[in-house]
Amino acid sequence: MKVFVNNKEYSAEPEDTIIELCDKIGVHIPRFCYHKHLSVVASCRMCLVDIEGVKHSQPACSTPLREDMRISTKSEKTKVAQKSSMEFLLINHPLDCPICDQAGECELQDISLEHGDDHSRYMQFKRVVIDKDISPLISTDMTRCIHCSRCVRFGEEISNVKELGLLNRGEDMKIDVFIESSVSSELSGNMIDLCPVGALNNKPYRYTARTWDLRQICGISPHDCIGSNINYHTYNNKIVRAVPSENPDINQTWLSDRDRFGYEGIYSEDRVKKSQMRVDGKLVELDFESTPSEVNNLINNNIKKYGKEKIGCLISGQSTSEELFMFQKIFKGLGVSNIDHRTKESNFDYQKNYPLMPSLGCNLEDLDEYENIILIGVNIKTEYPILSIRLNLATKNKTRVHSFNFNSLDENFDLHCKKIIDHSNIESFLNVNNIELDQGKTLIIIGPSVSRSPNQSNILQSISKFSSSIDAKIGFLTESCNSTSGWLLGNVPHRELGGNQSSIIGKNSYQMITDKLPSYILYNLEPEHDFFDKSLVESALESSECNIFFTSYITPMIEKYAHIIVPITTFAEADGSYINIEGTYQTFRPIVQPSKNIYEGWSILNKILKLNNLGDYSVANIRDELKKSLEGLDFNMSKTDMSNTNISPYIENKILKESYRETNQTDLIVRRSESLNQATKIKNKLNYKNMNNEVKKSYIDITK
Amino acid sequence: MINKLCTETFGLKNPDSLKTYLDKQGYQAWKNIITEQTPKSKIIEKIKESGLRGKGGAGFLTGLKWSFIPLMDGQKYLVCNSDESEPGTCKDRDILRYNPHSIIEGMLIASYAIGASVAYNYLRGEFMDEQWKVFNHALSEAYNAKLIGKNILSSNTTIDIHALIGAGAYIVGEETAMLESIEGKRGMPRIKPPFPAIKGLYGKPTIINNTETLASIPKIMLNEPGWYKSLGVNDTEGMKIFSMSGHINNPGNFEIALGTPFSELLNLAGGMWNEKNIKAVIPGGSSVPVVKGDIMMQVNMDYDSIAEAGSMLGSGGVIVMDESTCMVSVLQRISRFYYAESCGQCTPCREGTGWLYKILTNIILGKGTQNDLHQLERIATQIEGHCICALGDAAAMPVRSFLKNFWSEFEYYVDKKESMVS
Ligand SMILES: Cc1cc2nc3c(=O)[nH]c(=O)nc-3n(C[C@H](O)[C@H](O)[C@H](O)COP(=O)(O)O)c2cc1C
Ligand code: SF4
Ligand code: SF4
Ligand code: FES
Repeated sequence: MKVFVNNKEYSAEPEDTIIELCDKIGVHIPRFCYHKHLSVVASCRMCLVDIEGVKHSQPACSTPLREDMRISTKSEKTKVAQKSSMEFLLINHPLDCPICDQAGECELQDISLEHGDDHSRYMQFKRVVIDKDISPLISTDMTRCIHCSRCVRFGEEISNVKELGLLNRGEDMKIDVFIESSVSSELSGNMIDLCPVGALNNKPYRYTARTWDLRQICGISPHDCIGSNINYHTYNNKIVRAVPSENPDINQTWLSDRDRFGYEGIYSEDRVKKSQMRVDGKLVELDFESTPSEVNNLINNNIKKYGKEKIGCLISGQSTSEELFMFQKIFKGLGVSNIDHRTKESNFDYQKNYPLMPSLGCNLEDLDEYENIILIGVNIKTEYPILSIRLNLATKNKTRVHSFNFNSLDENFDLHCKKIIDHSNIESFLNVNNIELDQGKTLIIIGPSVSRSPNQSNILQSISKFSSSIDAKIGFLTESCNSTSGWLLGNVPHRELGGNQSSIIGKNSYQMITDKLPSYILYNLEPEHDFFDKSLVESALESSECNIFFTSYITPMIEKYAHIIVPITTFAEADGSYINIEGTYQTFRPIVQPSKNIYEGWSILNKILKLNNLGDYSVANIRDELKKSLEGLDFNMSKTDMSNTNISPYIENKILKESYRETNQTDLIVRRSESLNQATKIKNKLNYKNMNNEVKKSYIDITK
Repeated sequence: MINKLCTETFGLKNPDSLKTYLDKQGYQAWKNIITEQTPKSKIIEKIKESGLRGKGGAGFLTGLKWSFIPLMDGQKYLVCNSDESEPGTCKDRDILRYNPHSIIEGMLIASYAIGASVAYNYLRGEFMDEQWKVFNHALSEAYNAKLIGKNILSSNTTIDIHALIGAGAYIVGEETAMLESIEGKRGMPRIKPPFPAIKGLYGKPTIINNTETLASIPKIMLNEPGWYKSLGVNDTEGMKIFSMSGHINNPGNFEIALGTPFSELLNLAGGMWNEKNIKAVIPGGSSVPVVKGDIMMQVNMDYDSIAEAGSMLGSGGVIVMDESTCMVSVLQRISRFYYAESCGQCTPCREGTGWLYKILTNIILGKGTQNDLHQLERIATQIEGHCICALGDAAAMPVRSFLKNFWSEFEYYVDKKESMVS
């Protein structure tokens, strides 16, 4: 279709609106209410443009293109119309830019610079809106609101949790909540980005810096396996806030609150500041220079003293691919095969027939192509909030989502059915007669609650059989952001780098802990939270002769049982990379410099590697090798058969410690984010189900 | 010249009862359609031929509107707009309480013609005490007589009518805001296109008509083609109820032939009170431009003639003002209404209506300047044509017309800080 913009001819898609065309061809049209991922309301009237033959200027965001349409974005009529909308928007805006955090990145400021007048003709009183405390994460200055309703539409359309709404009419219209602090969804922070003005702002960041003094560096989310792209903003070598970095294939323009505020954890009080070694029962500080050799001596002495098979090497799946690569390089190089990253699991009979690596089995953007998605052992809303956006859109398209979980948890998208399952008899649930499947493609997504199940192998086998009976695909969502690397880079006892079978099969994490080895190496793990069973770990560490901790944080158990503590960088202070659940390999640079005595984890490991003459790597070298082992992998998981596994019978009396993961408790960094903890606390207080009866009585019970 | 259509039962004993209505050939048109199973297209054709125009304000040709409904099967809806809130208009409330069965019959015929099995009558909140009760009573009478509901009069036709009550917002009278409200949402107008006839209530094809429009349907169907058209005088088509208010002796609703001279209508309404001179008339509800009295006296009450005089027939709410009226105060009062009733969604209307009202209030308080008058003019121009619905225009048109017709009076007020007339 042929249209003219500013007298230049363009060919256009007939279904596009004027603003969509102009965004494609790079002609700027000012806008406030329009957002490419939200519905069009055409209410701000900032995008008015002059169309030949039409009396009044029309909104570009809602006007469809016509053959031979002649649009002028610069004519006098357009200018007058836009200027007049701008004037109306400004008459009740407080113009308190000097004390507004949004200043410098404010759409109202930017557009008024171009389209506004330099003085106001409005001589009356301005509207004032009283603020409510809506959330510990979002600050409000509602007097600044320009009523674009982006925040409201976000709740209605994207997060599917209606948190903010419009109250009153006309000039008195305001954005508000009914109950204070009730904005508490896992995606609420996105409203901060959507708000074009300073009405909704980042509360923890409030008054920290001026936007033009910030540096921006892109990172990758270390909190879930989706791998959201995040722009970190730093001020004086300190991260002060995080915003989404647009990636249409992954997080689009969104970010979960966990990804937005999780970084606070790196500033926790319990960061390890210097290497420490136990001398005469007491931890004493150690020079960094001597740290690698001290560690190396300990490792080699232990191997000599107890034998290779008595060393237990455990690493977190949250570690970067570089760290995971180096870790197995050292220990497999030294002949140790007890190596594992699956510290939350307890049942490993499945491992032989497990695919090369866990993968979602399809691209994130293709989820809506499935007629059926069966979720097993996962709560998307809290564990993978960013994924809930895709699933919400999928359910609105055509997808039926069925949820089978060990706990009764709600999702923020429509579930076709929700069933609570039992660890011991999953077969009875996985039955075609039990699940109303729609004609078409089916994807089964296996979540971390399955991995944590003491009956995991049986469950995986049943799912595998069921999937082939209905010709469905299997996908996984993993415990940590980089579990896929954990598998692929040989941080499992039975496979090598790239996934080849090992000749000697070492102990898995559960065996390592229950067999009470004389020496452990724990990398980036918090014994209190990152294991299947805290008390088992404690007794293992207690009875062991030598515990080597590579860690960013000092915890009571580490302090008590460590023989040597090596401080390592977090994701924010090092070069690193993660492989997300679709198989996308994403690298990142250090966002801030680590403090004086802390070094990049992979480089410490490299020093140890060198001491053993097992090689010498740079980040680039590591990545070259990594990429080589990734080549030709089938992340699409066209075949996943886990049905021929030899499984020892399920022992009923093994107590399941914790199958569900609280959204802000998933890893050691978010657990330390003060803002997120605050949010959780308030949310739990508000949660009707958790209220004691006394408080409940004072509410009208609408559930009845 | 006075011909009773929608007001036929007015003034009779028990005007709202089914019996009274049946005595006046009520439901005859509906029974004919049901027994003959008249083809839908034939009904739409007849309404088109009659030249019936919507009485809600825009005066859109009713038959033409009905013909926009897609022909394919599927759920469709009819909505009767009884939100009547335009200041100066009070005709629908009388039809609702004195002749409710004509609305029901009209809704049935319209639903049948467009293929809707469900129809809603949306009444303004203030009708709760009287009209709502009367209408619901009439509905149950009609249900009991098997005129509505399942298998009407033993045919295969099923049409249900539900009455709904609003919560007091003027803007819900705007058709798409009404649809939002029926869906249980905030009453805010939708952007058009898509028009309701394609994508209306719950996303389904929907026709919205005014109460008076629908109440006119039965008689049109009952009579010969061309009958309704011929009712109008001076080359115009049909009838209209005018709600006469203001400085007149006998205010009320008058159903007259379109094309009747305004002077005759004024006489019907008892003429000016206290034998004062006529100063100005707002001929179609408070949102239409004001017309000077002497010009109005030359105008016929029909769409074209009023348009020539620079205004609109609108909803038929005729507000007559005598020489003692302060035009500044009137405009301030009108502006306050639109300021209070803007839904607040689009910027020019949300911010502009308040600005207009505040400037006018300043003038009334004696704090106005000459510049304020130009500001008013400018702000009204900035609102006009830039909004989602017509409320923005409705707020702007009075301002521009009052200033245009009575500029000197506004100037006087600003200079002398008091009204020219008191
Ligand atoms: C702000 C606004 C208020 C309106 N209020 C009413 C009303 O109270 N009653 C009504 O019938 N139409 C009202 N309308 C007109 C309706 O939108 C619609 O045009 C009408 O109901 C169509 O019916 P008709 O074709 O039978 O006239 C209003 C329109 C606007 C823009
Ligand atoms: S709070 Fe912000 S995003 Fe929400 S309507 Fe107001 S300006 Fe728009
Ligand atoms: S013009 Fe006014 S009433 Fe109409 S949609 Fe816009 S803000 Fe609402
Ligand atoms: S961007 Fe088009 S009206 Fe707001």
